[in-house]
Amino acid sequence: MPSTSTLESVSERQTRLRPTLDQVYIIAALTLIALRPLLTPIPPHDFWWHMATGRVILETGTIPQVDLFSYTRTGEPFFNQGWLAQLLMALLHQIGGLPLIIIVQALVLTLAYGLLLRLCILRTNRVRMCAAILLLATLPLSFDNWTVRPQTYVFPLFAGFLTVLTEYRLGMSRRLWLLPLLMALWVNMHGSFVLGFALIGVVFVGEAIRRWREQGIPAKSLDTSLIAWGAAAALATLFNPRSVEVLGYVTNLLGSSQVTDLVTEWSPPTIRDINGAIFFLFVIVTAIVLIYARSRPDLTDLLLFGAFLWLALGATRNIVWLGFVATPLLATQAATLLPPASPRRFQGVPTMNAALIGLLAILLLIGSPWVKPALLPPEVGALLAKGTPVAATQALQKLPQRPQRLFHAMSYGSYLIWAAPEQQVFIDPRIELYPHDQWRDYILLGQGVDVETLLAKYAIDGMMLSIEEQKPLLEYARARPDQWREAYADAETVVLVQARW
Amino acid sequence: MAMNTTNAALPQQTSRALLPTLAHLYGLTPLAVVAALIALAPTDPHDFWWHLRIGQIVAEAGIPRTNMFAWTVPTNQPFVYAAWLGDWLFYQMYLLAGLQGPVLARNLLGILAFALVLLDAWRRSGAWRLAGLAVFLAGAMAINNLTTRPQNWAWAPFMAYVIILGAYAARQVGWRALLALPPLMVFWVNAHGSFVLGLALLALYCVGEAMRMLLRQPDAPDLRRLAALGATAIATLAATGVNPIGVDIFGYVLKLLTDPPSQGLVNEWQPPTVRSLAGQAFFLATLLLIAALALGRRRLSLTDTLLLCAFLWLAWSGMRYVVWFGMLAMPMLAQCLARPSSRPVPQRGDLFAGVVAVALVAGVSALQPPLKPLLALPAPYRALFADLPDAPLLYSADTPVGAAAYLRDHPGGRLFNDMAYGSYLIWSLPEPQVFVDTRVELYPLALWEDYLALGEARDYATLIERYGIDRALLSRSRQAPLVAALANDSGWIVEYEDRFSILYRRER
Repeated sequence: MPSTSTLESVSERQTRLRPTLDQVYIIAALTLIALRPLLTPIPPHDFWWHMATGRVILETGTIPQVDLFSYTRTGEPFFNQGWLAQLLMALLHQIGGLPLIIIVQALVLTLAYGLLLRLCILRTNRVRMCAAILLLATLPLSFDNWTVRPQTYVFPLFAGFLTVLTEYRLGMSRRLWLLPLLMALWVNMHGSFVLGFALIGVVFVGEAIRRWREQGIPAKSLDTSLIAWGAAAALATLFNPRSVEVLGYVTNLLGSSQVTDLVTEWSPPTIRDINGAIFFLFVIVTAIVLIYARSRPDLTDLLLFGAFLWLALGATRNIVWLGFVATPLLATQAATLLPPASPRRFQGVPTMNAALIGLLAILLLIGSPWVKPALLPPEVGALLAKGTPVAATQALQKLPQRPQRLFHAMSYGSYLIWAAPEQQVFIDPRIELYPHDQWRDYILLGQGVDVETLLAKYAIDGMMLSIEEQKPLLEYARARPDQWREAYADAETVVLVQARW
Repeated sequence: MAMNTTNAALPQQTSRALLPTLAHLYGLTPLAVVAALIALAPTDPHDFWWHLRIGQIVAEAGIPRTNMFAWTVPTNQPFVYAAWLGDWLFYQMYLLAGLQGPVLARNLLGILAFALVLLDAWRRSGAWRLAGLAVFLAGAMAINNLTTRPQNWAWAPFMAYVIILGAYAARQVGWRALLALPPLMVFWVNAHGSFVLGLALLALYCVGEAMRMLLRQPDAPDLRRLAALGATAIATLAATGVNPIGVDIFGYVLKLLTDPPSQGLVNEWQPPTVRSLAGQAFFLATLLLIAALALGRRRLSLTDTLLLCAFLWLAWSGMRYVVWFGMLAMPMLAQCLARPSSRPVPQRGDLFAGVVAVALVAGVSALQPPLKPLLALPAPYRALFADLPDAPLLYSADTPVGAAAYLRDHPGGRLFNDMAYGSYLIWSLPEPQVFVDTRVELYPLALWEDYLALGEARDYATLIERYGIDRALLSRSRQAPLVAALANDSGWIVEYEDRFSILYRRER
């Protein structure tokens, strides 16, 4: 059974306020995890419409069941599955504005990956190696998915599931009763709750095979505790406003062609972009460690790795889950390549260690959202990412005659929903809300194809265009000053209204 | 009595020695399945017909060096026909057996290549069952690469390199075996651009074996064996110069690998994903391989690990490389799954196994071009093929046989055509002048963008005016938007149409 001595000794020494080098490694890992969200400006795509929905829930006390924000699909049913996360986001914003959102984002990620680090250390008794693997392999693999949105809020739940199941199967603890509680939260925050069942299912199969091989009797191979608590977790999914309908929502989402065809993060990873290359490099590194490890991996670990690798191969957005399940496997197998851990390994000079921890604390302070705008360049110091049309939206709101049927970039739709709720949008990142034909028209219009037909089809009377994404359409409009007049322009966005206004 | 018994047993032993064993069937059956898969695969027009025409020109007038067939770029624009020998060989097969010849060559080359995969897997694992599994998985990963084209000529050289270098690293053969590699490279460099994979294999073996020697690993080569490997690499590199353009062949390969239209627009150059059947087969086999690496009873050597990583990365970069990865890696999978001390156990020949082997050979033979049309194959399968009188059930149904015949009888005009159709027109028309064809690197990116825009009927009237197009041979499936647009355009009339293609003419 894996030892817990390292974590115990770490915490024991911590109480004496004489920090060890192991503690520095742990704190450094957690600090670097926190710094990434602290130093990442919030991108508009999948943030603002969630905030706006949360605001509606706060103000009305009800969860919207139909589209409230677009003029193309207004009144159409829309399943608002992540309502609890949306409510939380809006509440945080009401209390502390964007800085509090960013701080909570950092805390959530630190909690999730802190749980993962703890799990790895428990299994290997190697603090420094686990911190290195987490920082050098897992985090680069996962960064791309660390945007502020409901999905991030369930990372600790996934890590919690993984921890509970791993500790249970390795005999470290019996806390399966936590699974239904975690699931009751998860099902109200994000559609990824089905991955909880994937974890339970794979662990169940892996352990059944292990027991079968050890005991040779199939009937005795079944883990009744896991079955019972798994069933309780299944029942817990009913604790949501739409009960069993939530399963239909997930099925529809996964089968939605506009989602899988049009959204970049739903497309399979390839080595032609940097995140895909990191993913495939991670797979190769894991394979090499598996080849040369001095012992065979745990079957359940390997099954989890295989299942989530397949999931990640299907869509870039699933890579982050692979990071969670692959890291313990990588750590346990890499540990076999190292000489046995010495209980008296070098722990540094306490004063120096304390100084290093102080330095890390200063980094956190500099990276905090209240300090960083004043000290750091906008690429990391801004709270909002480039591409958030703040000034353009204000200009739009000041127009004497506002367009009623505005065409705009998809991400702008998300921001408009929040910042100008009276301005109904053409489209926004609620991908599954809009039919495939509308998405096709959106893309064609942005590319300047069949412009007149499409403008007429949707009766467009204004445009808020992204110069980077919709240049052909902008050129079309600029070439027709008799039809379109520029009402506002900056380096990223142009607002156009009909010339006759 | 004893002498009599022994003498009586001898003829029986000898006759049995000629028979396969039951264990052999584990290898032969998957090989027969893959051979059948190859024989059943239709040949698409894309990458075959223009090569056959080049083969004809090579045979009749020498190796060409210019465009010749497209009106959208200058006729004398330089173009490297790097696969001239593969083209010439296909043409020789054509002279020998008509249009059935090249497909028969593809089938035989496929059987040879996968037989070599079987041999390599058996060499590594010592188990025919595992060797059979390796062949089956490698075959499944190749399903997107089974069309008839010059790459077929490179399959066997690639596997020969893999086997010879692997056996040399494993001390199963001596340095004399390496002597085969440079002459083989002379063939390969003239048959297909994939010859660089041979150099890559040699380089990886040199690096891997040198590292093993430096790390003093068990069974690592000594300096003498490593020197032989290095000398072979140098001789093989020199052998690549034996081609019509000498060292410029590397410039051609580099241009191809960095050519934006090829890399960006051609399907088989795109990275594999799980959204296609071939991609699923590839990634499933990769998962199986990772599991075998983790749980297997035998470890891969450092050199094997290097090879595996390099070819895995290559396969991830483009679907067209998956076939090489499958051939190289699946024998390694067999090795990982084999028992630690697995050695071939001598088995007696078995009459039943002999009968089954003959049945397998007969079954595969029946699927070959001269006999295939005689089989009662189901109608949906027959519908996959073009109605070529001399070559039934060989070439895919979207080969524009009827449209090309019409164009032969009614020549003229500035023709816009589907890319794959361009390939067939180059073969079938006496003086072909196409808009584009599958010599992708011949055409500039801007032309390809216009080609795609036209196919999607984006601003088609302007583009038609710009190029002065007055005829259009379109694929109903690949260019449906333009087919629909011209159908509704009163300026165009239908000259010819069939199930797959349609030919429009502009009314003046």
